[in-house]
Amino acid sequence: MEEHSIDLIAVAKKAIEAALRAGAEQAEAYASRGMGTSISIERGDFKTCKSLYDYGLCVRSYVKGGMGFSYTQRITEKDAVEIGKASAKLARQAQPDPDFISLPEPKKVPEVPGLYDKELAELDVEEFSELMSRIVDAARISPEVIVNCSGSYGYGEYALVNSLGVEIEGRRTGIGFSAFCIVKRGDDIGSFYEWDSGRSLRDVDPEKVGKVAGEGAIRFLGAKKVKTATLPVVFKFLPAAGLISSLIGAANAESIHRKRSYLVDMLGKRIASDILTVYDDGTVERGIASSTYDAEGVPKRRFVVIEKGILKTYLHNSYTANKMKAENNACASRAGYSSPPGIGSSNIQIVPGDISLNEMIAEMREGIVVETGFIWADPITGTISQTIDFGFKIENGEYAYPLKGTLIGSRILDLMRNIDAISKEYREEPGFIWPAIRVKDVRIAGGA
Amino acid sequence: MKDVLVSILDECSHKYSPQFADIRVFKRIGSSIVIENGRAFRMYEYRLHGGCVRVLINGAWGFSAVNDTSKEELRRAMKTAAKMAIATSKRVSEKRGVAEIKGVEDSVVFPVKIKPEDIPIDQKVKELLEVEKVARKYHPSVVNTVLSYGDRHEIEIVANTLGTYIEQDIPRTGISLFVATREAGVVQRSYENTSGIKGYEVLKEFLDEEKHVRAATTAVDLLKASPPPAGKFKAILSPEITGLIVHEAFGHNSEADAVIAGESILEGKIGEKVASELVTIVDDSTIPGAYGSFKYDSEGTPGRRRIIVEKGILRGFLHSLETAKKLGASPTGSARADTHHNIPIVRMSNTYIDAGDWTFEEMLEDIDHGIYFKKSQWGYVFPEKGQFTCNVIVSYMIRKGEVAEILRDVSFGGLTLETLKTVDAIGRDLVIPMAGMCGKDGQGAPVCCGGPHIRVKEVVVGGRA
Repeated sequence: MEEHSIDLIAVAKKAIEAALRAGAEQAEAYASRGMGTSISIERGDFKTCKSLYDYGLCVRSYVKGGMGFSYTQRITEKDAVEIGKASAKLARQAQPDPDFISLPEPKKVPEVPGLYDKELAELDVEEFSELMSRIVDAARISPEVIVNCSGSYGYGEYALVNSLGVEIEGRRTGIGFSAFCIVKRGDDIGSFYEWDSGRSLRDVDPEKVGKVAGEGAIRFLGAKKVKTATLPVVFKFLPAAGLISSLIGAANAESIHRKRSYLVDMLGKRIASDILTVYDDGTVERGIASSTYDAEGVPKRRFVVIEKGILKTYLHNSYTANKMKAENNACASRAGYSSPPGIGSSNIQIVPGDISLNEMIAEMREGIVVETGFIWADPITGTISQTIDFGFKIENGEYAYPLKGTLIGSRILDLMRNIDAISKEYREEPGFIWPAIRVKDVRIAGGA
Repeated sequence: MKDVLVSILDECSHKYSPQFADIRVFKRIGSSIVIENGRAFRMYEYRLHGGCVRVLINGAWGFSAVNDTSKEELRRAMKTAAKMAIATSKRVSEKRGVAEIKGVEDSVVFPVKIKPEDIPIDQKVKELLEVEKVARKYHPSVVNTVLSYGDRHEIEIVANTLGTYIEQDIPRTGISLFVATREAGVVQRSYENTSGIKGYEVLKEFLDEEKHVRAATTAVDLLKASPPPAGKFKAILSPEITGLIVHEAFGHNSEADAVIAGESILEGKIGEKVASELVTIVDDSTIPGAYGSFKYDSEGTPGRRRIIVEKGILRGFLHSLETAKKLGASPTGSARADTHHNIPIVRMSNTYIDAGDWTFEEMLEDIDHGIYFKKSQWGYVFPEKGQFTCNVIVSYMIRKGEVAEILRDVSFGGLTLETLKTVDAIGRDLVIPMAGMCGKDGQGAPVCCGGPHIRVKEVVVGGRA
């Protein structure tokens, strides 16, 4: 990988100085650059190999709480001055926001280990191609399996500076890939997907991804419609994670402050069954969503979000923590240089239960298992109305047949209160812990 | 710029003898204003800028992108792309190619009525605050209003080894308004937007259609709405929902890259009946002012009006240069890239079901018990199975031929081919009202969709009752 030499801290500082000179009362600059390589595979054959060298700089300035945000994809000192000035000018044009108190003060903590892996940063495209080939080989468990894959890896570094003295540098690596497999027997079509990701090569398993996707596609042949009914549903690891992550997402303190969340006024109240406890931990070594500091430079931490079914905290950044006089739990997050920090969770860890997944399923006389897919609740209303894209019918405690044309209709708080079992087995992605959950009395709409 | 790009392509041809190569230079300059609860306290400005090179060598693609348009950096990108293609070509068993169309040279600027840059920011803020105020003051249950205004220019230059050199400048402007209401612990919301290849005149269009009032009215009405029932229902879809279903359930299946990857329910079905004979589906990138329009795609191929389904028969797919070659079809100008960071992939533009001859009242007459789906929020599809989901924020029960009580928050789903074969009435009221960003493979593309009211014999509704 070729690269240029850029002092990101110096560029960010230059931008802050320009913003303050142009009238900003407070300012923050974030600069990043990174190299990424990605490969896509179509029907088992290599399709495209892509290289991206990306860099950018953004500045947000405040005047009487009004915010100006500006970003560019050039990071020379000249551009830094222009962007700094532009953000300050926008902040002066913005109307005051009395809810804004201050950007955070600096606080240094030791670095979270394992976020950068030298071996991965130095991986070459030939080695990555070889790794992607292993996914295809593992997925082709029979000639009828169509294998489509994509994957990418890369490294990046960033600098965050604010006018109150925050000055942070960091670097990280990442790798991720997925396989989507399809089997067609006439009009009968089965499909399944699987993925893996991590911050180093030792965290990922290409053979497992291929095998799970290939076998899953065959298992999903012969799908049938079911009748509309009220049934117990087991949400396996990924769908359970999706549901609970969407619940945590609604605890975004900005949404609460603006009264556009179903969790308004629910702090300290029961929002789930007493067997559900969920942590957010941004400090896990090698965690996919770990970082030493949040997007505003506040040290990340581990905290309980839901304890035995009770909502213990909202997710805050400096804006909401200051305004709502709450402890800042360092949930400022940003997608990159192209947007100002928002609020987001990091590594979600659901505390596993003490029943096995097999027992959870066997206890259902009639029910449904959602194998994979993302089922979420509307973040404002809390309603769930979605297709079960990868579900199985359970009859007499055993897998009967895969589903098609089947929808689920509920409210997230009803689902959470009706959780009656959490599995002791769980899926672990670096930092994340996702057991399966079982929910009683779920309304299922079918086309039979 | 032309000399620079042509010289890099020449160098690429000389060094690597590629089957095909192209260079794109991209610039997006934009600004936005966000007004929340009566204050315009967040302002944004941005500049994206860079270039990318794509090279096809020995049947394999290499692609490299940089945030720089200097000759030196674009040459470096060309060499990296060639390196990537050569590395990949060792693992390609079926060589890829592109349709060899005649090169085109053109320079296009889309005109707007009112250039956003001619309106001072203070004036924009003042006028937008008035709009937001109407929604905020509409009813005591309104707890949150967010009005977002944004304008941007996208300049894309495409040069390729077929002799194409296109410069295209597309301005897009949009206004969206979100309204949340809360009463007795129930939270509801609605939104409206107007976007297009337009200038500041979108504000007038937004106001002319009273969308600010509609957003507030809907969010208030939904507080009293009933939860939807679960099960199979006969349904009437509004033009907006028709657009969502034609885009999600059918359109993504007609993208030829999905067909080639085995991820489309339409694979091998050209010339076959895939919908009721009442259904004609069109994708048209030439509709003036529509959000999904363009003159040339990101490969420099002219966009056009394409009939995908004619009276229920599948006539063709949407193509890039590569998919057209692979399937022996003509390129349709459907290869679009989000920015210079992205490889062009097959996308829809403005997609709709063509008009029929029914009135809304005629459709209602013989429904004893059904649902009228009115306002959509999102949708998605697993195209390989043709299994789609459409989320609807406003719908109504239909009882004994009349629109009855309002329902909230419901999705309906089905299997694409089954559902479209049960369309038994198509309205005469064709509109293409739904502008938005469509996501695919991590790329966004501005698209529009619509149609008339249509009636469907059966969909499955994911309700709670």
